[in-house]
Amino acid sequence: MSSNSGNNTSDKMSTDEFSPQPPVTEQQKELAQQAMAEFEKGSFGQCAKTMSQLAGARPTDVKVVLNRSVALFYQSQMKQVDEFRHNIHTVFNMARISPDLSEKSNLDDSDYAVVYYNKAVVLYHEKQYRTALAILERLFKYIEPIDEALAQKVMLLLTELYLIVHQPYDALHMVSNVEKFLSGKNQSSQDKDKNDSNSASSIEALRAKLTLYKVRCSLMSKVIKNKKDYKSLQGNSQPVNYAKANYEYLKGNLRKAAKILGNPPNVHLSHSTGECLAVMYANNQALINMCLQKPNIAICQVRDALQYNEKVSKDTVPNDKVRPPLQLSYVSRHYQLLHNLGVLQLHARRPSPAFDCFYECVQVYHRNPRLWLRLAECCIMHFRENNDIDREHTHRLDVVQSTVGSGIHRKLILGQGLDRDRNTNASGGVVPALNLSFASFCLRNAYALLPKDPLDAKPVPQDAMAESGPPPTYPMLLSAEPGNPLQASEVANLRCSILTASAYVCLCTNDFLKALHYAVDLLRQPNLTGAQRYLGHMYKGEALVALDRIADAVTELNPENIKDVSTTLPEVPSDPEKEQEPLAQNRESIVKWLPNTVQVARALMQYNLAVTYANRTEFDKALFALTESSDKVGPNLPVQMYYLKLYLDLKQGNKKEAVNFINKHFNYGSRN
Amino acid sequence: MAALTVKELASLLSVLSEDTTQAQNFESLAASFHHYFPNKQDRFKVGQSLVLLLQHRDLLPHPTQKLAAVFILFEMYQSDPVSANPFATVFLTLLQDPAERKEANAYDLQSSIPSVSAAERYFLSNLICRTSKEMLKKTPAEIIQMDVSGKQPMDISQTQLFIVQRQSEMPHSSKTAISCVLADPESKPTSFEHFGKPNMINPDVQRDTAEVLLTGRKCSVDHTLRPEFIRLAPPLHIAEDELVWMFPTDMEFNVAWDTTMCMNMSTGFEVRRLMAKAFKGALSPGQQAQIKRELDKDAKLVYNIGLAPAKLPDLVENNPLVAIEVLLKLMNSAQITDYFQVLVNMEMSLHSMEVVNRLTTQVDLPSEFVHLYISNCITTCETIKDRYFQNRLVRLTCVFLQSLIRNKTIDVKDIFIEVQAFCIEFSRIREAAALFRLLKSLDPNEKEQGSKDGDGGGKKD
Repeated sequence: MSSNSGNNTSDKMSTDEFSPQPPVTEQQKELAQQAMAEFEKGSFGQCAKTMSQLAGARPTDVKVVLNRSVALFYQSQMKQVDEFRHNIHTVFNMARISPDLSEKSNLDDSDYAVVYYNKAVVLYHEKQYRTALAILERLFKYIEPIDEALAQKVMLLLTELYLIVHQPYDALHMVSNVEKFLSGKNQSSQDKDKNDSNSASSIEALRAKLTLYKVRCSLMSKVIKNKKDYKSLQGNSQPVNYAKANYEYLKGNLRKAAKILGNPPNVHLSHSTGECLAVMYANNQALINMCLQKPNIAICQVRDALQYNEKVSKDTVPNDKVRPPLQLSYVSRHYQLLHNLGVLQLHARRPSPAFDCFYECVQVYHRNPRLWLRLAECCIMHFRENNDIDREHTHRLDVVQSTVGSGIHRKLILGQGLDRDRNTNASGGVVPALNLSFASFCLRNAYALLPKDPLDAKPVPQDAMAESGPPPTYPMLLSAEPGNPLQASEVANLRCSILTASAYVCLCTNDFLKALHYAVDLLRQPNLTGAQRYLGHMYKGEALVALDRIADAVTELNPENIKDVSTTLPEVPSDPEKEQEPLAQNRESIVKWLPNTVQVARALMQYNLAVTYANRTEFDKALFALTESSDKVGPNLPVQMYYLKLYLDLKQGNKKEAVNFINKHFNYGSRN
Repeated sequence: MAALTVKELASLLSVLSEDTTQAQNFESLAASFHHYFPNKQDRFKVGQSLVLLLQHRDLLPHPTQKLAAVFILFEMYQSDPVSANPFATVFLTLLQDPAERKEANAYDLQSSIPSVSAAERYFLSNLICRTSKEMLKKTPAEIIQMDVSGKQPMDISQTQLFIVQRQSEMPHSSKTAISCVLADPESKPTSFEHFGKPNMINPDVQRDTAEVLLTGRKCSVDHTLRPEFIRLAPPLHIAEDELVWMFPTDMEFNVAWDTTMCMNMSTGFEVRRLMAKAFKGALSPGQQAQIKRELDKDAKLVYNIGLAPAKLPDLVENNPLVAIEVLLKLMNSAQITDYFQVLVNMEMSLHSMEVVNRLTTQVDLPSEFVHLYISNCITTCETIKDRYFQNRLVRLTCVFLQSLIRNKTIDVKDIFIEVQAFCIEFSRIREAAALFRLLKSLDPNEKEQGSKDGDGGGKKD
């Protein structure tokens, strides 16, 4: 670019400090105004012509080049996205500015704010949210010099993007920025033109949208901070209704939520937003049904939603040649729906289809620790359907496998207990399959994705604390795409669940030392559910026996210490001062966990104590504990108890007693 | 673990057959065993099978067979020390006094093996101690009939100790397993032949039973029963807000038109030109006034005059008054901290002090910034080498500090210690002494009173 400006007084002046453009003539100014008027009227063809004329006169004026490409883009009904993207990059090159605002950006770049905004808009519609966000976040640093209307657009798009990437606090911050901006504008405009009712009504509309944003932010951060905002949600538009329904859903008013969602919409693409309401409707209704304890209906509804999604995706892009307009490029909800479907299937006790859903999802949302845990849970449920499975009749049929020979040579072949398929997993766990070694791989991933355990954090030295400045003004959230982010308490709960599952899987794969470590880590966590504490002691005891620390195991397995085996945390009384209303969520899992009474839980623990004694050859103690536990464990004894009884009899030389026991309990007719 | 094949079992049983064990001596038994089982890796499974056969009296009914089986257990690992023999505990059990054994007659892997005679024990102890090869020349039958009265078995306590020690090193849980095969002889006859002869050996049934127990894929030889924990699976994780609720979007975002095209170029251009000059040299008062005028006219203009934070030091040095104007205009921008950062870190000078001083009188500067600036000044004074410049800078700093204190811009309490030390260090300079007196007059105790009043007064101003 040669500098042909005659105003240069110094030879040393570099070109980037000065716009090298020739001054704008009056005629060019008129052309520019005419083009803008045409653009605002919507006559894009005319506008494009005008802009071509202007561009002929000012070929190196970056802004002219940009507006010309904008006009052409609108003229193509926003279909020529590739051309437009190309033109934007030409502009970046001409202006010698960084395309992503990354390197040595300075205030001057705000001159080109429109270019960056347009690039972000394209990225937004093309689903590249984080890239768009990165550009706009940098642009936002220089928001002051930017023209007001554009600044507002930038902030609104930022809000939308923050919500999409689940950063509710940032979104809320941005909303308050817009509000500040609006109030500033109101004051200044009061002196200028009070009669501009048009702008007043548009400001009102904008305020309604901001209210909706605020409600969505608080729903996402799981605290309705300001009920007033919710109450002031205006209108009957679908975005408002869906937010209202979500609020009622989270509060537990499920029927009300279903009612607000209204009647099922038709399956078609909305021509303003490029979305398909039917997909969202079916999905949200499924969520409500899930909470109404109807997982099977819910599964059908999500499947419907997946179908609609498929159909709309196909309709918008029937083949490679036809391109939909930019703003109508349909954003597939496939993975979100699949994620929901997986959760529903798992809770409907169908681990195998759930596994398939989660496995597909985890390729996309591989940073979500909860998703990895769910995968492991599928494997665990596949391996052990529930905890009453030991009581099933089929297992009792295996206690006496067969008889061999006859006469003096007759032998009884006993079963080997339930744990006979030890060492069956040789895949190393990285092969995705419904087995425990893959579960162990998933759990390692899940744990690695959690932030550092606060229990392990070194106390921050005083001076470092002073240096790091004030603590962040809002709570840290852990991303859990595609779901809402996790608060610290949820992260803590997740950590407990991961540790419990890890200890279990390690025991099953004979990794006893690791199992012990996980159990110890679990038991030191401050907020455990009754069930987790119970399991922690039980797993730790078993691991200790395997590691030959039987004396420690005996204290660990004391049944008297069990006070509670509920799977939920006790309700924490919310802080009344903050007036934050915790949302009544679906805290109870619809999959009931067993044992669900303290008595049965104690009996099972006592059985394990009996096993521990038997390992130390204290057979009398073992028999006593076994007898006591079998009295209390309820009807249909777990089959392990029969095995242990036989074992103890045989070990003590009571072969006759053992044979009698077999005759009595297994309908086996010994012929002696 | 692989089981024996039917053929291997037949070979083993032929070595252990009643006829063979009656007729052949131990050496030839060993030779024929090694003939059938030349591979070392087969030995463990053979050993397991031998133990199972030994446990069930009916499968190796004749004493010579039993002795031969025990001998082969030894012979298989005879190149290693006895304590390393995986079946060493079998010998240990057999060598126990029969009286002792009765007490612990448990249904154990080892102890269910029937006990042996004194002659056999004598033979076994000799075998373990590897004392005489002579005995191997005898047949099992001869050994059993041997008269050992008066002969003491060899002392094998050392070996016993080794074996026991090795056993105790293993965890309890590895020693719990028992065989799944439970002898349940029928006391009632099943066929006419058996009538009245409940303990009659039927060679066909015997062979079939051994075959079922010891061969095939699902054979019982390595099936064991052990005490087994009930291992409860954990409950599903309860997530409070896991499912994705879907919201329709409420906004449309479209590509935007640049409304600033071909506009506002002229004034901005002129100011930018003047600013570019201002970075390089002092402007005339008229030019300075022009910049101020234009900046006042358009609040957004200040962002478009090409003043990046990095250029601020040049502006401060050349045109402190313009710098003050610009900074005041930028005060509300998010960028202002960047400018402060630069200002604090730039080389200390009369002009920079002037700028900071003026700013303190016109706006509320963040107190960290002022403190940082003061401590920078003090450090610069202390580290500078040139005596002349040092004196000059110290004087400047003192005047600057006095002005800050008098204007109540800073609270003396916060910087009292540092400034006092500074004054003492440079007490040779008149201004420092004056500053020191000023500090003393605002003694912290009195000062508290004073500062409260002062603060109140300051705000009113």
